[in-house]
Amino acid sequence: MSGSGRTDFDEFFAETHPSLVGLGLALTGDLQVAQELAQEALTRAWVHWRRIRTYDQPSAWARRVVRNLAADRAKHLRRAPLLAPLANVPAPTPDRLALTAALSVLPRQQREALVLHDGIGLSVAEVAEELGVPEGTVRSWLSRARAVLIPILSTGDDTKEVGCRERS
Amino acid sequence: MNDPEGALAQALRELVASGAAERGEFSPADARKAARRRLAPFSDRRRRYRRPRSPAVRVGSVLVVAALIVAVFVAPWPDLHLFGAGSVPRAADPYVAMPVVAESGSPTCRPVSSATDGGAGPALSDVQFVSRERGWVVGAGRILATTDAGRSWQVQYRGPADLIEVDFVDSDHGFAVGTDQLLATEDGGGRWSELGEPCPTIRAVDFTSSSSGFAVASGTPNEGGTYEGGELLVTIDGGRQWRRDTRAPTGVQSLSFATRQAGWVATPGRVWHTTDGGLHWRLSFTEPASHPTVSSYPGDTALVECGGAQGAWVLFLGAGAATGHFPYVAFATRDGHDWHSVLEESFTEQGVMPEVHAPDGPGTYPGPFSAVSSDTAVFVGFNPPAPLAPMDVATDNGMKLSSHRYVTGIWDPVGTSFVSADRGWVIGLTGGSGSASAIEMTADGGRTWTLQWSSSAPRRTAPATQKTVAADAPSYPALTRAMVQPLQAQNDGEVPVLVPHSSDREAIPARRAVEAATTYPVWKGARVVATGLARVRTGVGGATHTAWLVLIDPPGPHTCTSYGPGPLPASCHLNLYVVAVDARSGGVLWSGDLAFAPLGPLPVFTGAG
Repeated sequence: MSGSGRTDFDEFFAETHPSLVGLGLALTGDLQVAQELAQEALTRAWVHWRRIRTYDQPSAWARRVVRNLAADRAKHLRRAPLLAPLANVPAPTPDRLALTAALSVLPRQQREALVLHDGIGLSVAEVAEELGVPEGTVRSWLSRARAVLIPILSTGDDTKEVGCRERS
Repeated sequence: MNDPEGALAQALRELVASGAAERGEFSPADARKAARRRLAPFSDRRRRYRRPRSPAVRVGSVLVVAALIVAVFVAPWPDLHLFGAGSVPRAADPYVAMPVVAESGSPTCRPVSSATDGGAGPALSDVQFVSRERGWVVGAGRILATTDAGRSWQVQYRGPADLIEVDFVDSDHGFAVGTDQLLATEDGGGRWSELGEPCPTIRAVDFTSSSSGFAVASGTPNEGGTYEGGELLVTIDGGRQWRRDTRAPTGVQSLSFATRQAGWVATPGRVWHTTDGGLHWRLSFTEPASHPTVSSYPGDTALVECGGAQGAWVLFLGAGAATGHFPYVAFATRDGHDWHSVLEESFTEQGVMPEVHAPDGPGTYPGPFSAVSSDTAVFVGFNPPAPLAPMDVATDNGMKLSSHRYVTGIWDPVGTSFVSADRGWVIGLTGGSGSASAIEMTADGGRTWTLQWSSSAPRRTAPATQKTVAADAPSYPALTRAMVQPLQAQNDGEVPVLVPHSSDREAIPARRAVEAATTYPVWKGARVVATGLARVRTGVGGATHTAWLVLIDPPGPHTCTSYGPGPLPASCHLNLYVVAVDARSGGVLWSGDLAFAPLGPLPVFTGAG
């Protein structure tokens, strides 16, 4: 591996690592798992670096690995309470718990589309490219996901307020 | 809120940002280190897959050799290696028009620097048998040969050549490919001579007679033990002069010829067939699309082996998987047109190629395979945590698959050559401390094995064998029923059933399961709380596996410092992680949190101090 390959990779790593963990967190709701998925994706990126560095969007490849791994994990755990009591690492805030729990009820494609668009900040066109579907499909996934999430989250807000009042 | 969509987007941005802020300690150096560990089985082997020739091909070869001998006596030998200068008119030969890229006597080509780890190759890297009795094994600086089915092995060559492949066309004529050498023999290895290495460097050869052969040259090494961007070369004078086969598809990774006319090459994700010696190449098979499709992905590394003139087998090595797995999938054809799946890596390939439904292949990493005929092939696999390499015998063109059998004495298989469904050889590393290279032979389809040669002879460095499993097990505190109770959710709604260590004699040792479960740097400093064998369910359909359950106490502020005996203190917020590791393969089946709320009912952990 040439020196420039290493430098490339270090840059790619620095740019991509944080957002991969963020993506993993949004998809799985578990920070420790998110760290693990990001590590796996970056390890794989180095394994295939010769090829990946030639891609237009190496970070899209890494995101795909994270998305697939997150989905595999969900498949293997099936009905497991992925997002249940989370005391891992720094304690997640009630907001985060509510949001990740709400995300977990979405079908995989809608969740991925929403997280890539709103969370990572990709445009609809970029999400469509990344998920390999037409833009119209992405738009409909986004609106369906929002239609599900917004009611859940506004209920979540109420609960939180009640809890706060009781405690004080 | 006035703008619920905006608020949702804001919350998602914050969620992603919070993950980014807490990404944990992981550096590019860690990634490279993890990758090196991942690649260890591949980076040092540069493996090639050989097939034993079918008897029909051997007869054909003998005829060609006889014809050649006649030709040699008629035409003076020196003319032959200057072929192309017009000494031997062979107008029908299509290769004359192709550009010569190298010939004997040119300066020796320096090899393209290999991937990451330099140094000498493995002690043994390739095996080939041309009959039930005669075979060769090559490796770093050595060629071994046998004429009695491996009961005794003679050293034919000791020298500087780092040999990676052996290719005999009959009992006398053979070639050995090194990283920067190409050796040839005309007397069964009594004398090996250097042919001179063409530029670009030859990676693999397949000769169909002592004079006619094809080679893959150039390209860059990849993780699958083959090369990306290789090109096909052709020779008609026994490797003295090589021409670039301009008609071949680009990016050749592997090649396999049944006869001078009929052969196969593979490029990423594709298999190509010729029936006219390379004048025309037909795309015979494209691997099913992986999911989700990425247009820029060139396709999986493809390793092809012919089984007769029409039949072929291909092994695709995939990308993108999970801890301790390397996806692979094999396909076969009888006629070169209809292909069907044979086997696949059991845990990850299904997610990559959801349309393919194939039986579980041997191992969580791909290993070498040997095509005996269009009917029969033997696939050997690799389970890094397990002491024995698993193997499957595929018959009926891969429609039937044997149950997993285990190559005693080989941990990491490097090469294999089977002359029938029953009789074959596997070479590889023995594993364990002071790992050696060994040759193992079976005469009953892999049920029993005989050690024929070891680089650490006479003392055999045995890997952790089945006998040592029980002795190894108690090194971690044993899992109790209370500990597995909360796993009901992960286990398809059932509480995993603990099983005694002795009940599964194929189980990998507990320490290997712990290694598999704690691969990631996030577990640096983690403590193993308990391990135990249990029957667990996983995957769609809830198949039952015997697995090691490894309870891990992750490093972090939430850690409880004491696990008993007796009830945990109520103030202790216990949050363990559990990883189920398949006890046979060492693959990670599932993992999850094992969370106990501070005020909820606490399990009683006893004797786990």
